[in-house]
Amino acid sequence: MFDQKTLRLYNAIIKKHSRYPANNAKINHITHRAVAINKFCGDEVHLNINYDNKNFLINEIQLIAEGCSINIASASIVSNLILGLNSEKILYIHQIYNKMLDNQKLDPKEHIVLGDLIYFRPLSNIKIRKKCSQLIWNSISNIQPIKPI
Amino acid sequence: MNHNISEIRKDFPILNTVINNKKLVYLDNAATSQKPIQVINKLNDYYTKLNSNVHRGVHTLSGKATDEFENVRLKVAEFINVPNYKKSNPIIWTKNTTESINIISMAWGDENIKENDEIVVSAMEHHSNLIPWQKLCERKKAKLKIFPINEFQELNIKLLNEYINPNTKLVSIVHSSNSMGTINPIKTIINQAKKVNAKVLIDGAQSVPHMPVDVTDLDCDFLVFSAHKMLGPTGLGVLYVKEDVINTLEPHFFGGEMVLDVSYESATWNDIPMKFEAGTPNIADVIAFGAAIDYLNEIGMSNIRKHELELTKFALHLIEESKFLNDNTVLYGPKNVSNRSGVLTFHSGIAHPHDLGTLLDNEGIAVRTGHHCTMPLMKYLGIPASLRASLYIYNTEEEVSNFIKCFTDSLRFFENV
Repeated sequence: MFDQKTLRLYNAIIKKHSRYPANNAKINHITHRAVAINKFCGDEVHLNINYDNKNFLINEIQLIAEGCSINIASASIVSNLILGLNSEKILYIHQIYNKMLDNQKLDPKEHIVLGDLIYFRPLSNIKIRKKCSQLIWNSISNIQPIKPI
Repeated sequence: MNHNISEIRKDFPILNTVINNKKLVYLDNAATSQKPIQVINKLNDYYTKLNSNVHRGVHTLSGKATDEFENVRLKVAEFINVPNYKKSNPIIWTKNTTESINIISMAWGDENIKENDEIVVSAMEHHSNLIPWQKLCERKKAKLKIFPINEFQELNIKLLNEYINPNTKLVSIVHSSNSMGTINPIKTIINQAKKVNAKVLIDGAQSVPHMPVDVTDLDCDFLVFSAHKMLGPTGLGVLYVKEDVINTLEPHFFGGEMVLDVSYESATWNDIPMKFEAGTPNIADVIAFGAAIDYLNEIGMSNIRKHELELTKFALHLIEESKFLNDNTVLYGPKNVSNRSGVLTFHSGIAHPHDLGTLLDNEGIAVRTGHHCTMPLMKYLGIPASLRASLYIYNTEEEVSNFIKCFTDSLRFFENV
């Protein structure tokens, strides 16, 4: 019954990530944490991170995401993408992602940078749901070192 | 209903709107109702033929605008059966229900609530009927008591004497829950409040648009509601205050319109209700609201309630017949349909309400998803959000049936990964 517009958004990749989010296993040696909560709908993203201080990149990540499928799927895909990256590269991915949501044309290199986030392109025409996919990015911008015990 | 729904629907131009290539099915009436052409035309007529400031003007337009403006105040008083309204009209125009409650929390609350006094609200209140009382209790060191609900989101009325007791100074309660569809036994609550000399505020935002509400019969002290949920324009609310209470109230806002005499040192106040309406009022919307009241009166509030009850029964029947819906969703609210309004609120473990709402929108069906401004209630129920379909006079069995089908299909869509 649903038309292409809906099927394009709720495609197999997004449905899979929303049902089986990546990086849900506990990690050892948590150095950083991040939380983002949208009180208006109950969406939540919690990140436990092992950060490599020597090479300035994310070594390991544990994702706990709750709420709508757009939130969970985007958090899952982003958690895969940012593994092994430094903050500069993570910021670049977010910039390209926003460019896609603003309906701007992406060059082939930018397509590759986005990985599975490319499947969120239909959101560019569903303004009200864009924010659901931004909660993971809000959490990343709030990453804080945990105090040593 | 005596009136033909298809004829009624012709009066609402927006119902012909196409959303995502489908004809709009508007089921978000608890958020705001649609407007009939009579209301839209009235608004247009005011600005094209009558626009002028009310009260005190000596020119013709001002006089005509004042007459129309004040006639609507009489219409609203008659609509909710205010006693002796022709002698002294206690209908005060506000911005909305929220502002009406805030005004009472300050104008009445700050004068009458003292340390250790108790204010009672229910567990199903909209934020607008909770936060003003939280703040008042903070200011006065008074106690806010939350009247509990049972498993069907009905007030646990067995606790009436415990919660409304000689320490209670105010009971502020919703008549019809915006998020659960529960119609509360407000007559019983008012009677108990009278026994202990407590005042009663009724939040009628979801009841006055949908059923007959008679303040003479209820004998409540305050009734608040909004025009936009009953076919009228946005930005206009109503505050009714019982005669013996309104006579004790001091104005809360000051400026033009509300004064009788002003010197450099002091001022005296105009008569009731104008002393509570500082500044130029929302003239155009009040006058257009008059057309909304006429429209509702023409159909009859009992007929509106009957129509919504029949549609609700039809929806409940469809839900009951669906094993899939029964197995996978929770429908909140009373089991006894006569205690329900036309609000149908669901939660399902299969998919988040926002995802379901997006799929329904794709089919042209407008429902509300979220916490419906009742965050504490959602927390109590242990859910982050819910999906709400809410009915009104222009909705049909075909639309209800379409909603139930698309809702089921949406759940199945997310069920099959």
